[in-house]
Amino acid sequence: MRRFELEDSSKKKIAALFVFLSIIALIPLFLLFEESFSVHMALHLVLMFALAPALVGTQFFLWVFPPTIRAKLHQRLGALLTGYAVFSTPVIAFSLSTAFLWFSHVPAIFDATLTNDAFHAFIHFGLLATAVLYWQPLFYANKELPYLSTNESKVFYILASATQSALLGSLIAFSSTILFKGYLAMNNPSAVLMDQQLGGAIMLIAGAFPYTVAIFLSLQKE
Amino acid sequence: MKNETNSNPSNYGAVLRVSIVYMVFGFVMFMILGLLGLTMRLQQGNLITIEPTSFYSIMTFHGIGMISTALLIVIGGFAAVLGKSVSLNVKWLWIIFTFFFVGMGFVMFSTLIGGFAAGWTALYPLPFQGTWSEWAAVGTTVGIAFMLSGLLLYFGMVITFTSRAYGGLGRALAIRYLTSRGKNQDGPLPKPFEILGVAVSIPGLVCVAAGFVWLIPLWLQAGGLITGTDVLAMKNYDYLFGHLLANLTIYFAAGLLYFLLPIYTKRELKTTWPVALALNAAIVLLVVAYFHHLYQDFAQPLALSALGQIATYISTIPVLLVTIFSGLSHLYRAGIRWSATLVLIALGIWGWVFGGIGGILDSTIAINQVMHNTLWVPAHFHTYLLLGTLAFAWAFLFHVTHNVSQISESPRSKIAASLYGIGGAGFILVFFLSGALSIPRRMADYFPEWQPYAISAVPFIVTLGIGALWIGYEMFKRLRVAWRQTHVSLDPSTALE
Repeated sequence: MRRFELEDSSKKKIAALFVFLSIIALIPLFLLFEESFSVHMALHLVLMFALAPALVGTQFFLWVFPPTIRAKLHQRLGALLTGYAVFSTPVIAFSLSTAFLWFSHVPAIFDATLTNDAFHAFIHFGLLATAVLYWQPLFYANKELPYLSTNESKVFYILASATQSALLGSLIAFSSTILFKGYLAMNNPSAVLMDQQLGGAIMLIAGAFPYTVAIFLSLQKE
Repeated sequence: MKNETNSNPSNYGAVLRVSIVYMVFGFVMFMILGLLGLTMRLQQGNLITIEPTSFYSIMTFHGIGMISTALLIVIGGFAAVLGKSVSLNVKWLWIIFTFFFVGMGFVMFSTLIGGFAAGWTALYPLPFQGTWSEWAAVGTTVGIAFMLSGLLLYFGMVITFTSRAYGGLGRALAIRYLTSRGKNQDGPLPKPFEILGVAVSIPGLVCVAAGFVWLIPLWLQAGGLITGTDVLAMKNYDYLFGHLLANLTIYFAAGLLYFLLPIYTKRELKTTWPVALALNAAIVLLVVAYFHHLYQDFAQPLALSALGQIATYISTIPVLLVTIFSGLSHLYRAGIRWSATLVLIALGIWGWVFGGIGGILDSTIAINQVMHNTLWVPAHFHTYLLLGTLAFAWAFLFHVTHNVSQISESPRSKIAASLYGIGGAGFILVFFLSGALSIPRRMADYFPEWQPYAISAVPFIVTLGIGALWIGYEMFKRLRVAWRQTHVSLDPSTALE
């Protein structure tokens, strides 16, 4: 069972702590996001930049199971793991996470999530799942899962994502019209516009920091 | 006094790879920003029509972007030079690149999408009063902060690692050798470019500090935590940061020149006492010359303006002594075979001298009263950036791709370098002429009588662009092989030579 062997148990424990902290942070955000676009964006950030990489870092907590159960899981979930390996190939993972992020912020789609809980849950799950795929190639070198082995490939991979994310944040932050009209039901137009610009700014400015930290953490000494 | 290498870094291939990424990314940004520059001249010549708000956004991105790009390219190149004898941290180098990349992204999106158009000289009531949203101003300043953070790491790395290699900061600056008038040296003597790196990194730290002292009150103001600032103090810090940033580009580029000249002329560039003195003098002169930015502020003490003029004049002496004299004497009767690299080096020396003369004239108080805010100022900084700093940088990148790939140079690449020089010289001469005729800078719409000057610059910009593209093509066709070679074990003591 090489795939789920502990490579660095302390890293996994730290990641587990981050999973816990992310969930704590998500609770108030889930209570407020339907009233405020900026809170909604903060929620997305926690999902994509805290919970998703932390989950990858814990290797989905499979290490807590005894080796015999892990062996059985590996046999039964072999196809799922193969699929995971395919979809977390860097080009596919980047394309999927980028496409889903932009799709989920198309105004009509976004407004639909505010009126349909099931669809909203699907979008949030999709953001989390594609973000998990995105972070996978940056974690734990092993033979069976895709891994970016050189520093330059890691830097380009992360910066490509940072660029598209910042572009999306800019389009929202600097828009002078209300893009997400679903929030007009909750507040007056000028407050909605200000909140929308704040949400975009959170994506643009706050979103840059996790990528920078990711580069710092993922680089190896040469 | 013998120059000795103190260490033989084992990570040189990795350092060279990061360095290549800095310079190639910088080249791509240079071409994009150059196109924006062409757009501005077309608008000023009334050949195209763009809204003034868009013009000033483009101008802001072009200005902040170009100075950052030039700095990124030269510090990247300088890392490849310094990394031959000083073991640098590759992880830090990648993080510095990340800071620059993210910072430039912020500035690009905040100007081109957010419409921020205040320029980097965002004097009161700028940057928050304008046609753009407050977030665009915040985005731009955050972008500048990212780049400053990258610079802080870079300067810290150069000072720390070079000092470590030579056993202390004093030794890295050859202070004992300097104070004993060349009679005593404390350990191995650093090479000229090593002293230069440490010496200019010290005012570099002042630049970073001044930048943050300017930025932090702006953020506090944007956040509503303070209602206003001392606008004169803010102007002073803004200009101190900008002045140093612009000057650092040419000093790091000079480091590339000190490295390249001995290779092509087969004449060693030694650390002599006058050279050590001149390089150490840069620590003080770079900062003090800043006072020439105070001429137009009647509220500032007059003595500071006088000091600015005197210090600017004195600052030319080390440059003349080390870079110009030494550069020309290296080239004189060296029996060299002209190549694209050497054409670019000669162009760089010319650009530094010519741009420097333009700057010295403008730093003369009596002349500044007439030339201030005319196109004379852009003429000065475009000359030393385009034909000084970047000419040295392209020479170095050309040399790296050529030398590491071991693919021989096409004789036609000299034509490409010459086109770059001819186009660049024509372009800046039109700027100088326009400045001499008192045509103002930072103007989107020109009076009809000014338009012919803008129009006459266009063919030169196109020639410059063709030259740059051609140089780029010649470099990039060797790049893949050069990149592969960096993975092969490189001996730092002989690499690039």
